[in-house]
Amino acid sequence: MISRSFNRHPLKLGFTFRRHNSTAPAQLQETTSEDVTPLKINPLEHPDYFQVHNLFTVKDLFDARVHCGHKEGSLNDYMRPYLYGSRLGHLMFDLDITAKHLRRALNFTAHIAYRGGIICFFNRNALNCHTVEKTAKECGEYAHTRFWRGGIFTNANHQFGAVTRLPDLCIFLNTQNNILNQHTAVRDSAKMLIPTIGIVDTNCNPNLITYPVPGNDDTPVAIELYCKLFKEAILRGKAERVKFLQENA
Amino acid sequence: MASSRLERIGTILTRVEGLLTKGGMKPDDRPLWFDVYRAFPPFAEPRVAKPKPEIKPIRQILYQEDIIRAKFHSKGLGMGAVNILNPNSEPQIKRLIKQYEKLKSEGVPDEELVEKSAAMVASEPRPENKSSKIPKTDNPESVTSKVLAEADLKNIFSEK
Repeated sequence: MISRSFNRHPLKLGFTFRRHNSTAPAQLQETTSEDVTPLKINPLEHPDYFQVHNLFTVKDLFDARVHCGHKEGSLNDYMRPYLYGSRLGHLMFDLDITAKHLRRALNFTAHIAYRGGIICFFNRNALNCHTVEKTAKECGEYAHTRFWRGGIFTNANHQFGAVTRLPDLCIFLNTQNNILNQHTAVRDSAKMLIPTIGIVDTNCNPNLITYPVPGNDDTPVAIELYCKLFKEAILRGKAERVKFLQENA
Repeated sequence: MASSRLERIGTILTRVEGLLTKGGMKPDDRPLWFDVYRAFPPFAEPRVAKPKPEIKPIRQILYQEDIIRAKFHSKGLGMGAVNILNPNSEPQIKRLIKQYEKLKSEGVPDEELVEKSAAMVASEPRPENKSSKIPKTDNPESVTSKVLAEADLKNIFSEK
């Protein structure tokens, strides 16, 4: 039901159309003719079509205190590969690994925005609630930062009384409801076949998150940085989409 | 539309692929993210029942100065107040270590180093912190900055 609404998606049709018509020999013939059209590349074949790698540096992550984790006692064993070490009991993330994961997540976000997907931000920390909602508003997407009523995804048609289009990507700026429980939307997204991006701290379980990004999920500066990056990635995807639609109108 | 809600089995990709190959989902009905996921898969499969990673001892992050730090902290020195609003402010212990190393290079005997550097740092003038008096706002036109400009913080309790 969700993806049925994408059936008549102009962009998606554009993609399939292009896929059948973009054979390499045909493009070579075109370049020999007089009116030289710029060589078009499929965004999915380009390793970084939206240039998300230049959005941040490892130093930016360090300045935003992304490397700071929780104390050793609350470590989730699945987070061990992402650690750099422990400074007097406080765990530190390896920012090179974080950067690698964050770039992949940003690239995925930009591609989803490019294809006209709905993106929803999640966060259950009251301190960062406003930052997250403001970011979602600024990039024309959605946010859910309040109490999660069970069944918003899994029983959406009943809860909202109409056929509901669910988001195409959920971005969790923290994946915990409180210090003990994982956000129910993480499980529900996996149930509803929605990919997720999540900032996972040392006390979180990254297994159900499609694109986990190891990093600090509490500090406001860090959350502001993530918000800025995801916003920029979404805006780049949307700008490319507008360009694509204008060229193919 | 067909879908599989069993989130503990496989990953979202394998479940969609299963539906596509077995005809439960038509290729045109595939989710929007499907092609993107296939082009840029995550570094680790998002499976619930993953085997736990090998448990190795966590590396301890220690520095050479920690020995000097310990000397100061064991005497109760080095825990001065820090201005968190100023990103360039130095903590007390950093100034103590600087002084310690300076004195050591001058050839002061080891037993006197801690006391001497503590005394010298205490007699140093405190770095100027204008920002700590009245918080400045970025926008001089804002209501907050107008109120702060008019505020007479020293005499708020004096009766007129």
